[in-house]
Amino acid sequence: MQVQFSYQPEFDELLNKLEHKYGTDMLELEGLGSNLDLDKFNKKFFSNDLVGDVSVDYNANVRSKHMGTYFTEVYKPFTKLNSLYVIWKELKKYYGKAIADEFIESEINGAIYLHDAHHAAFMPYCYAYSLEQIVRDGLPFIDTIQSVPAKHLGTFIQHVIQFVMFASNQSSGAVGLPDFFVWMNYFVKKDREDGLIPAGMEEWYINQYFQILTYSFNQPIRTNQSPYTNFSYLDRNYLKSIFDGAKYPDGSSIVDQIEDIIKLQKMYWEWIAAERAKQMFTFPVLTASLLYKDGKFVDEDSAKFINKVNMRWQDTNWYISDSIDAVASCCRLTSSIKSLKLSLGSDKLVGMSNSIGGSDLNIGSFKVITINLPRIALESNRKEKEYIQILSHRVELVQKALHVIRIIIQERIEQGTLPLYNVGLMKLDRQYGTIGITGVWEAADLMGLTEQNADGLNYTKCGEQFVQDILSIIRGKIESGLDDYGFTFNIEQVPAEKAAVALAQKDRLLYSDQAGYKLYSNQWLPLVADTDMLNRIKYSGQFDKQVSGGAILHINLGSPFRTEEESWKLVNLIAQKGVMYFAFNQKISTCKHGHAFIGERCPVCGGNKVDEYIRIVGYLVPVSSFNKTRREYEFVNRKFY
Amino acid sequence: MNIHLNRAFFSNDNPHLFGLSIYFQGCDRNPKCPYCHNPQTWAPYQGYEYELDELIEVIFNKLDYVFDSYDKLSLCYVGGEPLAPYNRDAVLAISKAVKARYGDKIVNVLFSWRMPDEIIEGGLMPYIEYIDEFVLGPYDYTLRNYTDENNTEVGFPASTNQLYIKKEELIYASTI
Repeated sequence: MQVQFSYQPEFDELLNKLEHKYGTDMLELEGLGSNLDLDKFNKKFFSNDLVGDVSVDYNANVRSKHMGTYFTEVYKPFTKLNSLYVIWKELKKYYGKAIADEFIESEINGAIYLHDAHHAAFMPYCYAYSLEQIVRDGLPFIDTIQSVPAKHLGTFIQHVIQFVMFASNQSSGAVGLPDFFVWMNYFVKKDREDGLIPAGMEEWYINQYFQILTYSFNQPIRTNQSPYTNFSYLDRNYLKSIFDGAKYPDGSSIVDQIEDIIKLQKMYWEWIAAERAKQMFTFPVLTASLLYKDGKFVDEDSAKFINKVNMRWQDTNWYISDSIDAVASCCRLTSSIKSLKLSLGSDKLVGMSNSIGGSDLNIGSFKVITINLPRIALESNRKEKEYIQILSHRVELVQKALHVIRIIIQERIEQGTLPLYNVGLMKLDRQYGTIGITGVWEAADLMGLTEQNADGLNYTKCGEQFVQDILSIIRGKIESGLDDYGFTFNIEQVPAEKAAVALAQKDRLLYSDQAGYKLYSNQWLPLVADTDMLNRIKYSGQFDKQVSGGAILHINLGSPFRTEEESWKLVNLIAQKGVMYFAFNQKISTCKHGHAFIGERCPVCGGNKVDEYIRIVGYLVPVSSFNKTRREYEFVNRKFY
Repeated sequence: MNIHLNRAFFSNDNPHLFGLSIYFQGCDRNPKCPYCHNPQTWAPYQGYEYELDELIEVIFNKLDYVFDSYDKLSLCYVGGEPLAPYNRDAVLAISKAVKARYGDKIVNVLFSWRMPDEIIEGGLMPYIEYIDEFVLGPYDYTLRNYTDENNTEVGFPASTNQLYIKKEELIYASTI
């Protein structure tokens, strides 16, 4: 019996040619080797303890190995192949066979990395949704069971959970809910006015809904994993700017209730800090968006609150900006409203200006393709001029691929298979095509542009210029890409949880004598680099603003801050140096009951530490669920301060 | 004069102040402290070699980078042994230079295996003229100072026999 794929013969010929050229090991690394043999996959899946050692697209959020996981993983190699075929076909149609073939070859040999490849031709990546429309209309787009607008807090919370279940299965990446607390505040107020909250029990009442929501978010309701959700603490400046003129359904002004919203945000941050002692959570990823101008946090009360509440677990990412045109929504991707507005031209710009308010949060990325920067160093024989030429060409290849993926998604929207677009909850015009980068450090290192001295690993002066040149080339292509392709690109130093490992493996396979890295860095300096913490801050301050799509600085703490003041001063130093997005990481122990604590013994039940949570890339997960390379090499060698 | 450093990293070596720690290469205590935290600093003339002026410039650059955000910083002289014969001139020169540049905004903190009497009787007082605070005494593993029941967090000082004293206390000790 032969399983048939009615693909164009040229695609089949291409894959055969690439298998012959690169060998079966390369296809195995790509997940298109034995994983496409169902019998072999079965044996591999059931004989491995960790799903990550089997999956073609693993992340540490997939922790359970059960039949549901099996049925999710077993199809991924096939849908990945299918995605590659669909993108190849579309590239061939728009740009010719040579470009289409080059894209497939680059993906398979690891020059580039198509994220969520098994979804790539079918689903968009991530989006920061405003809940305004759900408050206004309910969930009419879920056609199997339609819900009218919520009238009370309990229903609103259920709508949010149901929406996240629905939306997370319609996209590959994060479901950002940056204005959740703005809308929750409306229903708290409503229940209070309607006399539904028992006297003296408002805090308990609200905490009950925090509990329902948070425990629900951490259920594996997105096939075999929890949906990747994000909450934002918006400081008073963000709230004022974003919701200026906006009104709640009862006609009251949102900005008139900013203090209530701030209070609600604080309540959640305090609630989840306390709740983690009973049950460690991965989601939602927490980010505080704070305006920093003229050397200080404009809303110092909010910044000091985040500093204080973060002391316990360091579970909040800091997003610090000197303008309120962007809101960090994914673990890293920074979506700039300003940039997208500019891309839409003056006609549409007027329309969008009218929608300033909650809806301005509707923003995201439709797809990410990452460029393997160390590979270019190897291909160029470490010559800078050649490096820049290859990089330019590769960015153009990625732009073309993103262009046709956008066209494919557009077709899916027209077919009605991505209904969130059809009902206006997602807007393709408000999604970037994201050009990812990984291995900046290793690229410079291969080019001989790094050094080590008493303050640890550093870029040389030429190395710093080299990084600037890389970023300038990509930024230039992004700017001209708006005219060339008609939509906005951005650049992101991707978390590359798996990509950083897979690309390094492919480079070792192709350049065994020259490439010895176990994985590539998702920071300007590797997490394992023995270097002064201040160097990490320095380079983030130097390069972050050039990465329009985001980059996060991780500072791993060997022990908790001794005082709030100590943390506050370091936070201010980091902000003052121009770092836009960062997080302190500290190891959070868990006992067998899932209680979180710092140290070796659980203060709740007295049990021993059985696992540790820490951000693998942008989100907190147990180290035991890290992929093999990150678990056995990267985590073990991470530099803690 | 050339000086050898193992590293120069910002840290919390001072219990109250954030600051820069410079790890001198080479330790002249024999035998060495069992379970020393930094055995890689024992051998002299290893690590990274600097001209003294160049090193002072490096230290200025690092401190300048941070001083915008801090009213006061510590500069910790650790090792290795900062008062070893091949390091002590640099301790004096660096501590003098940072005091001249930053005044009371910098707190010089010297970590040494030597106890006060060994500094005094060893004729080392001239080298510590610009030091503000001292952490003195060998690291004693049997008296190690942990802040938690599981012996994971090293306390300050690292062992309870060590003295954390101000300059005035050392000067007083030198007079009796």
